[in-house]
Amino acid sequence: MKLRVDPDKCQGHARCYGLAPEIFDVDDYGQSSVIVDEVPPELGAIGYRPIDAAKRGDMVGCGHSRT
Amino acid sequence: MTQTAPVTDWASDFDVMDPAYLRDPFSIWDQLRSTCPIPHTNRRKSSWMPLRYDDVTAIAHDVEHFSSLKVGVIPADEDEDPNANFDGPNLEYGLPPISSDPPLHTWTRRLLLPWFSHRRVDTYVPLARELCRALLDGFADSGHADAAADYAQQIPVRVIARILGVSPDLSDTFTGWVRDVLEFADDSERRQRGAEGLLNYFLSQLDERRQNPGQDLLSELLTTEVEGNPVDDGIVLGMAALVLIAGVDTTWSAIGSSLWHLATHPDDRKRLVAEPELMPTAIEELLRAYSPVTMAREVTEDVVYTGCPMKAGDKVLMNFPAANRDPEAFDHPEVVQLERVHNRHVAFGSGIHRCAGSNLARMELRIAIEEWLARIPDFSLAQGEEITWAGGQVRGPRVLPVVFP
Repeated sequence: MKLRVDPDKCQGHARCYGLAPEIFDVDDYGQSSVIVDEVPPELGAIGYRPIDAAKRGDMVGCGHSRT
Repeated sequence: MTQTAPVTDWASDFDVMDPAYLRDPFSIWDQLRSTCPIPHTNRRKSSWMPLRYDDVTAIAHDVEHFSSLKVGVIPADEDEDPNANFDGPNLEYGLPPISSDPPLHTWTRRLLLPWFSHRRVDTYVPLARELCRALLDGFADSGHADAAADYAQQIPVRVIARILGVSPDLSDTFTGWVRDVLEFADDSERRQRGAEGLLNYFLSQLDERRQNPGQDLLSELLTTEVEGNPVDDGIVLGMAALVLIAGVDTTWSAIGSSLWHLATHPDDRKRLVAEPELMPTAIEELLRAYSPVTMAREVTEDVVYTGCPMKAGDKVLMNFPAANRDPEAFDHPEVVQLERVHNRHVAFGSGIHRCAGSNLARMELRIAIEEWLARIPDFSLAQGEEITWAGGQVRGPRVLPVVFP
């Protein structure tokens, strides 16, 4: 599974980074980005929380989506 | 100007400083949300107070109709010059970026953000831990403490002092000024005294930094250039004052409310001690359930919002704490669920004015709770001793007596 962050929607809440620093990074200005090409299958398969949340778009305005 | 006459109609005459509301705003929000989700009052100033999640976030994003030039929940009198007794640079821009609209907002915020990035905040962790441990050393063996005054209140102000490069020895003075400005704003004399103290102190610090620049935020603001020009002294002063004001009362309140929750909910307390891996979601959940901060907006032109005839100049109190308790946005919002994953809370606001210091606030809250539970895993409220709550702009306990074995 691939994920991306929509830079126009990301508001810098940084929940993604707080919950899954293995997958997300946040720059000095609060902009999040995905730092892995593929989300490790074991994380996706076990309903790893941030991925689960991202799949549901469940973070305020930050525009995580599957690609 | 203090108006604290009892409230009989919360829909048309609310008062955020009402003693019953300070103690328990939750039941009042629940009642209003289903009957009048944007109550109004003429107390202090014509003000609206959206309580639903969707309304609060929609208004937060509509910066054209809802300006941030005046963000105080308790407004100064119309004819009052808030800085009449301050003999320093022009403060017409208030405390940017919080009290500004774009474009000033945009570049002042950009100057502050790197100081509160994850990477920078990680470097303050040892200081925060050391502070918490030293405070706990002071009372852990005594069996009782005021978790608000002896602990929560002492932590954020010292971290902020480090960031600003000012003396932590003045922490109590800083706390006093910030409380004067935010919590006792109904008392105009006290509010002005606090503002003057704070501004005059930072004015002297700016002179000092010009002569002896350091690695701190104040020094950087003085030496940075924006489009080839130095930053205006009044703006530097406003930004410095903002960092202190916003960095003290808010996080201290969140720490205090979280300790209140753990003192009154032993199951959650035991679970957090037993399952420390819950900490990331638990911290977000405590921030949701006990969000401290309400910020105001000012209506820029007459607008009818969901049937409410808002007039230019009216205040809108952005009740982020109430939005975070909206059952349309959260499953059983009245219950603290330490493992809550689906948690789109707006404790730090939403949109362009979203809190710039949230990484710092989260870190301080997490360390404060971790260290407390490591030292005092079992504690409860001290029976018969009164708890006091501050509210209005920032809600949290100010006296929180607890006991432990």
